[in-house]
Amino acid sequence: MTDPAAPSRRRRRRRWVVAVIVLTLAYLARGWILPEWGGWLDVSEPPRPADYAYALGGGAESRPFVAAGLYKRGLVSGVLLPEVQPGPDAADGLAPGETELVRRLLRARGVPEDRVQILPGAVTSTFDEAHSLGRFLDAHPDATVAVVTDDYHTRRARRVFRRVLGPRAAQVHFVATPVDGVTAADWWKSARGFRTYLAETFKAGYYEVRY
Amino acid sequence: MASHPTPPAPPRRRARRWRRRLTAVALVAAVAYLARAPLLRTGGAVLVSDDGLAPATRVAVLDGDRRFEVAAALVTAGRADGVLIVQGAPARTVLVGLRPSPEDVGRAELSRRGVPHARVEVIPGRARSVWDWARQFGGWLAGHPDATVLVLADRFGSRRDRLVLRRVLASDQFARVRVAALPHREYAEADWWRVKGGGLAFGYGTLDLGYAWLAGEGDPPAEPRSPDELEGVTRD
Repeated sequence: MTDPAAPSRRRRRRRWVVAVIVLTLAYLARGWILPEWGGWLDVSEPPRPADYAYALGGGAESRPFVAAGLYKRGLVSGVLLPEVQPGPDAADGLAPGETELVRRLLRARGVPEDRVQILPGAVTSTFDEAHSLGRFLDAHPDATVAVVTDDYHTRRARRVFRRVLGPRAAQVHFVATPVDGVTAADWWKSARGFRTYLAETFKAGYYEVRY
Repeated sequence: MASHPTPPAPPRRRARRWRRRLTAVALVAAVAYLARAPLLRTGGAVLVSDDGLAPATRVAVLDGDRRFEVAAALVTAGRADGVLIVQGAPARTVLVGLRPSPEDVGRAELSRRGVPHARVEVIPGRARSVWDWARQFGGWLAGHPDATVLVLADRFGSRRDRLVLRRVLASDQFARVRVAALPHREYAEADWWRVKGGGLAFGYGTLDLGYAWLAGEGDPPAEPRSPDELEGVTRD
């Protein structure tokens, strides 16, 4: 007598075998998959002349340095900064407010004070920063802007800026700031890279749905 | 005996099977939605490992909201003899002289809150990760065999911090250490999902704990680029 449950058991077994094969292949191909994944997040372009560099908030230790470099090379004639809402440490006086720190940093790195503009309106997200730039472009409709942000953040930033600016997004391009010791080719090998790239992937997914 | 190919299930049976699966998924999703508060609370609680403000001879400031306020309160109340600050690698904005080092900020904050300079000890080094921090701290513990230390930690980073301390410190040193998971002013385990900062802290805390658990320290952090190197980085 044949067992009526045998076909479904066989089907289940086949599925498990397929799953194990897929996982094994994914593991063996991790040296290709993970760098591709990291590289997917970076849509930056080589810097080209623009009227302004816009150094996004949240990266005072790196982004303003690159913006200053663009200014000193004559690629931009001014730097725009968002008005970053202070976090708890800044509120307690343990750290300077980010916008003020970056303004002083730009001056120290050779960008004259009259070449730095702080865009009004407190920001807490990339979305807010895109709106700040949108208001600036309302008043300066012909301005071109190099948005400076971390390499892994450029895809999400580009999506948000395109969404907020609409056709004016053509006036904007994205310049990458590298992260010390972490690249798309090795992000999973360090705790910092793992946290940065995975969190960015989740955020990119969230922004995809939310905006 | 040769095996026979499985005959395909009749369409009606296949449809029934899919209906059953979809119903099960919908039920699980509904239960997860209805029970979201306890589930999210449990998720938050997993990241927290807290001994409370246990008595100790020293307080070590690792991280956490209002950490210097808490450290100063413990010393001025006589519940600890002094404060330890582990020196970190200077950030670029410190290197170019735009702001004081975190150690100087810490000293100033503690002094402002009534802790004499003599009661604050900076453990020298260039910590660039919590693993470096634990190694520098371990060196100090080795030279102070009678000391007990309360480590002040970020709430959602506290279980990872304890895991790192357990892996880095010798067992007799780890036995002399307690971890206080400092509450955050904007969120807690019970409501972290309601504010953006809580969501980010939960996400980062989960990734950090997961990595430390699965991979340990990983590659050590690289030496940061100098300000001049970073300025010229887009040149090619």
